[in-house]
Amino acid sequence: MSEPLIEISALSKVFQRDSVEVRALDRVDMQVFPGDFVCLMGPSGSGKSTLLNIIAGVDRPSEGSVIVAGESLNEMSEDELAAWRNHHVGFVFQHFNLIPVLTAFENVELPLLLTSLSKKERREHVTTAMELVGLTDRMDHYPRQLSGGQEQRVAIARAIVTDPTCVLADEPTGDLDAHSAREVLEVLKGLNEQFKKTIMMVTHDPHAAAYASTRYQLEKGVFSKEGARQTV
Amino acid sequence: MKFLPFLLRNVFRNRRRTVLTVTSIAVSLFLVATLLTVLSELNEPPSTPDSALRLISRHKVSLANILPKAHQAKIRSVPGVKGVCGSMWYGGVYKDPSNFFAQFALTTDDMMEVYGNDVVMSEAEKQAFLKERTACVAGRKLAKRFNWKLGEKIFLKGTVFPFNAELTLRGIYEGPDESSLFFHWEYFNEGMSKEFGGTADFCGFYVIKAESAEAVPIVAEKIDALFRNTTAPTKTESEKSFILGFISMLGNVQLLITSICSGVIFAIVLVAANTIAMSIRERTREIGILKALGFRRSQILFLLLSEAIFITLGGSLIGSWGARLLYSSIDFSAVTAGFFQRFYVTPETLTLCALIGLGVGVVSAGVPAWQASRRPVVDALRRVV
Ligand SMILES: Nc1ncnc2c1ncn2[C@@H]1O[C@H](COP(=O)(O)OP(=O)(O)O)[C@@H](O)[C@H]1O
Ligand SMILES: [Mg+2]
Repeated sequence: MSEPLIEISALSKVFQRDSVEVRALDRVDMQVFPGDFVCLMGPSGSGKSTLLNIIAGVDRPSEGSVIVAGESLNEMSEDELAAWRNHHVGFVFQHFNLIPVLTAFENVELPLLLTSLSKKERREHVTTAMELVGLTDRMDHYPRQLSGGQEQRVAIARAIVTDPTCVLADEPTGDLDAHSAREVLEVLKGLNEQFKKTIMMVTHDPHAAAYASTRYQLEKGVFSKEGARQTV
Repeated sequence: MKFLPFLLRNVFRNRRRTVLTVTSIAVSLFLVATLLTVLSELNEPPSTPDSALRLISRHKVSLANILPKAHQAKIRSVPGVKGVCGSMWYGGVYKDPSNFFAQFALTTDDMMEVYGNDVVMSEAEKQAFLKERTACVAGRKLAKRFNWKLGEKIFLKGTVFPFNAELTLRGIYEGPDESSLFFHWEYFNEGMSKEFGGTADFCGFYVIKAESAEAVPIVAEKIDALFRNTTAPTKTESEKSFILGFISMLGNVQLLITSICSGVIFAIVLVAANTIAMSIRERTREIGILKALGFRRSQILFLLLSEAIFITLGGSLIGSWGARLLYSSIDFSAVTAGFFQRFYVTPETLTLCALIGLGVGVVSAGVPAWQASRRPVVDALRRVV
């Protein structure tokens, strides 16, 4: 087997709420390999989002280490993390992913504004990403003119437009009806199968989980024994 | 620069709010520009080559104290003096008190010498005026205001003096001040002598023309020395400082105007700060998304500040340039009955207004933009709406 793309060891995250300590993650170990489609499941409040946020470099662990693509996130400054995210991570949230004042095209172009690509190159990249999610005919639409499923697909296009190392999705189908959810999941599956993108997805939905190649089950901040790394 | 379209979208995200904010700033800076122009016009009366050579000599005690006519000849004998006019502020009413304009009874012997190119008429008009005791001349703007033609009978009712002037318009002059009326001091003096049943023979002040600009301070000193120990001592100064002194009698205009401007600026900072803080707060989640995409804190700060400055600077430019355009198309001398000969919004005032716009943007957006740029991504993302 190849080198792990994401390597997490003894990762803990403690939130201080008033005088109460909430241990969202408790010494978690995890390895994700290039080309994996990982699904993270578990009841609400079990720490799924927290884990994903730490891997995405938008939150920091209390203890333990996170190494993604050979780089240790623990040591990076805020600005280094920002640049790193732009380069390595594509993020899809559950809702309100898109900037309402920008068109689908402009939303997808946003992360490219931070790169040194020319306007023409940006246009090409955006078009390619929109093709992959099947929305080339919706480029000039504003988010409010899109359906929930289309919005999520635009968000996926934005997540992959920089050709990141991994795509992280936090309940991307949580707000969608079954049909739209399937469309979104098919897009993710296609990315994983055809383009060998590494995908990590949080979901509640067993149907969604069925798309993944590996499944993790979180319970109160730790992986439950039977669920820890279950390869389909 | 590639962020500009994004920036503009954000500026016009809430169109009505932006328009209202820009309008309130524009109106405020229009007022500020107006007040600053009042100040700059008061401090910088229009000057011409002739006016730079003129001095005003008045009674040392106050402008209300009169000077003997005999002073004129004595002043004329002072070396460096080219001409002297005795002048009296008449202050009569033309038909209605609201028709206010400046009227001077003037000794005519040196008048053309003293005023030079500041009172320009045809030779025929000049001669017609000089040879007729009850003749008068009026500035072009004044004549236009009342639609006066040459030969017009102008009746002025005395208010300060118990003497009514019945004048005939014999000349219409051009010059930097075209809002005044001049008539013969001899006619005025005759009327006053009749009233007083003897001799009046006084002037309010003397307008003196010096031979050169260098001579101006020396002439002033010599004239004052001449009358120092008489019953009517004088205070002589350049026409410019006389006008500035006259204005300072209006009170501390400078302080008043600066305070009003500060108040206005403070008020717009409050308005802008409130609006901008609100527009940033509403976007907390979006800012979190931008950061998740890789925007650095400094980039967020830059975007939010530029957005605010775009609005405040835009408002201030509209207001101040609006003032400039408006005032340059209005005849201020007519509107203010000659108080302001011109009303010119100077480049300094425009620059100051732009800086105020910039400053208001930075001050009102500074804190919320800084906070938003620092807020951890996860906190921002948790905020729905
Ligand atoms: N910023 C925070 N402050 C305090 N507690 C938090 C914070 N973020 C998450 N938590 C707590 O950590 C636990 C895990 O949260 P989360 O990772 O969002 O769960 P999940 O995504 O599995 O529903 C929850 O108990 C939650 O209340
Ligand atoms: Mg969650």
